[in-house]
Amino acid sequence: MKTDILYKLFQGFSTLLLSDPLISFTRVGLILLGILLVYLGRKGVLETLLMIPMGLGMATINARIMFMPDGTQGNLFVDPLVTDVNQLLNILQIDFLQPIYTYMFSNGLIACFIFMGIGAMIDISYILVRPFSSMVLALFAELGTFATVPIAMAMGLTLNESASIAMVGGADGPMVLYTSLSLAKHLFVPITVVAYLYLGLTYGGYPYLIRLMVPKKYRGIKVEHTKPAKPVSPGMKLGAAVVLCVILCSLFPVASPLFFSLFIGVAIRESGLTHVLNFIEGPLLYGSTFFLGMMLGILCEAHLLLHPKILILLILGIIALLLSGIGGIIGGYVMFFIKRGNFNPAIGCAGVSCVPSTAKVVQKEVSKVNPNAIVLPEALGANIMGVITTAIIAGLYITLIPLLK
Amino acid sequence: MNVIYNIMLIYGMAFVIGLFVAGIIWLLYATMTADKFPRIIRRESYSEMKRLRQKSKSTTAGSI
Repeated sequence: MKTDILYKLFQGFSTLLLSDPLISFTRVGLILLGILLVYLGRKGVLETLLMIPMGLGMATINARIMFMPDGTQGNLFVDPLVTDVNQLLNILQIDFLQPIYTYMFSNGLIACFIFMGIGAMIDISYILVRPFSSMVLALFAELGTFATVPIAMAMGLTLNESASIAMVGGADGPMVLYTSLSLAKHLFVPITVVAYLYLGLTYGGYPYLIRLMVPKKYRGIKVEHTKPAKPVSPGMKLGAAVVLCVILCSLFPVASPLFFSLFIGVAIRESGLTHVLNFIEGPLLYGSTFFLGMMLGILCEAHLLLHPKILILLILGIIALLLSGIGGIIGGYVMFFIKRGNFNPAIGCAGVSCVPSTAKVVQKEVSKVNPNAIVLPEALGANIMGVITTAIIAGLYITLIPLLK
Repeated sequence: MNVIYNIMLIYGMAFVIGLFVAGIIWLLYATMTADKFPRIIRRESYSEMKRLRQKSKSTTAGSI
């Protein structure tokens, strides 16, 4: 009788003891992983803003599993699996994070908010000045997004699941979330968590890839421009953003929320609306990233995450990012030959659109060999174009993959 | 095999669309940064040419 009271009183521990051993071990593992993420976020190894709420959310949700009134185990944070409308209305009044999940997460709104913030941060003059070289690099740097699909299918995933995990190769968190919500909703939590975990690691992994694939004599090449680029005014950038947004949205209506969000950010930046810009690149971007991290952590509950395909997803995520990095550097070599040696092949790695991490990584690696070589403008051009190509590929996948079944 | 073929086809399509978008960006940039008064300059050079021709005519007449 006393044990029964203790079990009811300390339900976090009792559910741990009374569950299936696999679930219990996974819960303990996820609590430890959550604490590790907080530590790595604090140390700056992984992105602090994302990892601290994600890690704490992950640790908390697995610690606080309780017995629900119907005898099952659950939590009072969020229920992502609910489909019945009446049940959802009840849960919306009980689970305190359910409104954020339902109204911001599951419809991709949070991804669009982050895209608005990215749009407000980027300067599109880099892609306006050199559109073709930036585009070639960005397209080559999508190698992982495509090459991972057949690998994933060979490992037992369906075509929709394969395309969703392959999007990790685009190195764009919001895009992975958006695509997996459209193509493989049942796997969107593990896929997005894998994507965000690995995106934090690109900063640490890509320098080794650059050193491995680009010899020192090429890595230090300084790009010389014979014709100085004409200056691009904010009005020109605004005009370009409007035209590109309309064209891309008409080409890919399914990915139009992403294009619209990206270009509205650019439009606000270039139209001189400083107070709105401050809101978008400050509270909106940071707030959305915080809630995204927190929700991803909260969704990492052992029952939800203990999917037989999780190990495959972990392997495929790293394969996708690695192949994209390799593809980007191959693109760098292609540009090196097209421009007859007046191009640094390392810039290709910046085509992987992890704005602006990969561009910074490339500049850092180039500066180590030749401190006078400034490749950041070219790298940022490829980087920004990478965001656009990833959105194009998201549009292609969401439209074409269901037709290929 | 069919999957590889389809995925390569989509990659090819992405290349075509990407280069089309790059072409539009290039066109936009070229249009927006083009000289705003090329016709006036041409007219000015034409009037300059006429003036020089008249001047040379008058110089030749004087020498005869």
